[in-house]
Amino acid sequence: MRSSAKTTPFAQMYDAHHGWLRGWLQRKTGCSWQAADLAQDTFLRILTSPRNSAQLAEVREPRSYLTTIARRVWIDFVRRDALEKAWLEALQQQPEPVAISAEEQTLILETLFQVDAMLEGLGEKVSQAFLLSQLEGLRYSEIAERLGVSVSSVKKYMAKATEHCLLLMCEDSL
Amino acid sequence: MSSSQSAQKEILRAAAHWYSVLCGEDVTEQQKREHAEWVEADPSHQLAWQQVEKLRQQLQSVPGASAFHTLQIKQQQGQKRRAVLRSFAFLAGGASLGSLAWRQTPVNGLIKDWTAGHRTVTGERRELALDDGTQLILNTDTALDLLETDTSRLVRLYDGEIFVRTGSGVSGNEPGRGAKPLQVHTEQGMVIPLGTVFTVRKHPVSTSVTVIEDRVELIPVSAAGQSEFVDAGEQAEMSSGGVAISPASPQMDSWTRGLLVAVDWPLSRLVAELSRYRAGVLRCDPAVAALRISGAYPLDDTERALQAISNALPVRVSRITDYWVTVTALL
Repeated sequence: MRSSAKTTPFAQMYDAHHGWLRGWLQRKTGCSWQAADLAQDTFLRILTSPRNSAQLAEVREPRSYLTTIARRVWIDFVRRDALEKAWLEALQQQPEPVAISAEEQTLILETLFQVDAMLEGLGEKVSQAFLLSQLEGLRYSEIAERLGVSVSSVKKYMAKATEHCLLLMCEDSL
Repeated sequence: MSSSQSAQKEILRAAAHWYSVLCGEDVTEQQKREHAEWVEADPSHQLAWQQVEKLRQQLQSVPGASAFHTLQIKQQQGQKRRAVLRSFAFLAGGASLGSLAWRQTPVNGLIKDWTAGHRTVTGERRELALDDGTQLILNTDTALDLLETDTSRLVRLYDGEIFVRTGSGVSGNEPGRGAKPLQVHTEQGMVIPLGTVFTVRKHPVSTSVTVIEDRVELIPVSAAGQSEFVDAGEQAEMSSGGVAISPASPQMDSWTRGLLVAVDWPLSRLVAELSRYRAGVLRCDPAVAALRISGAYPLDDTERALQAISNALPVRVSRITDYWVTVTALL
């Protein structure tokens, strides 16, 4: 896999620090297999994010840069894991069995992961109102009743949650 | 720069306001007209409204009720999760999530020896011989712990795939001639051999078991002691809540001989399987994913396998870097 002829900043960093990062992650997680996965995902994230790979050549302290990204990868990993477990639990609570292919499931989980990440940091009622309207398809009056607030509050919550999501979406695309 | 940014934020806020109006009940014709006027008033408004549409499409792409329940359940578990993250941030070392969850697994008898961290890297295959003659073969990217007590052996499979041939032809539940009963545990449940030869593969949310000889019993973790039997020539998909049994695909253990055998597979499946044996990213362009292919491919030389695929089908192998390879349509 290694090409000795042309070395990009990415390949240099991979060769010089991959082993070290894996060791660092192993000390943090106490688990060699997880450390190997997280190390691989960290490099993959650098490679697949244009912003990250543009920064690579200017990184002064590669190891602190790598641990910053590795921490984010780990947090996402824990979140994904929690979401996947919650999804399975939700499926089991369905009155009728649902047939979902592995591909569909992957896409659904990815979407849920993004939605969940976008709503983080919003107040509980705000995110509840948004999800009840957008996923459960409830009317504002039904949501108001369920949350014990007025219909005009529900509308405000909706606007707030939507604005929050739009800001994050545009931040990403900038 | 910052003033145009704050102008953009204002536009997004207005778009969000319009969305909250249009999702409500009793939207008037007047409101619909005003919204249309607002969108058409400026290209930046159109862009902002496209983002709203994108968000809406994303939310509509998931099955609403299950999605809602999933996020509910996850939110309730949020506190526990944050506690785990804190321990990661401030403590050096400590147990991983996986081992925390699994510490509950009951083990009969005294623990004699705990050999942690048998692991193969991507592309590696390794054989472990236990002293009672049991043969374990670890496929690529596999991690397991081997736990031995006075009366039994326990394999905890965290990731990857194993082939098991129990020692002396003795079944897992009938110890004799020094052989100890063996069990394989995964996150989803227990695999108890009543026969001799089988494979176990751990997926993110399920475990597949293919039985080559005799019989295996499966006990999912949250099925309240309910078990299912899987016979030779069958394979089972075990989630934490249940087991689904189907006829086994042929040659499921061909990897133990360094081969991947595909029989009328979609190309996407073959590429996904090959990618397990290769460092970096190997993916299949959706445009060619459904092409059918059969063949036997060498696992120790995935480059040759890719070459063979591009000879057999109208596809080419496109390389962004050595770590990022895509099988795409031939142009």
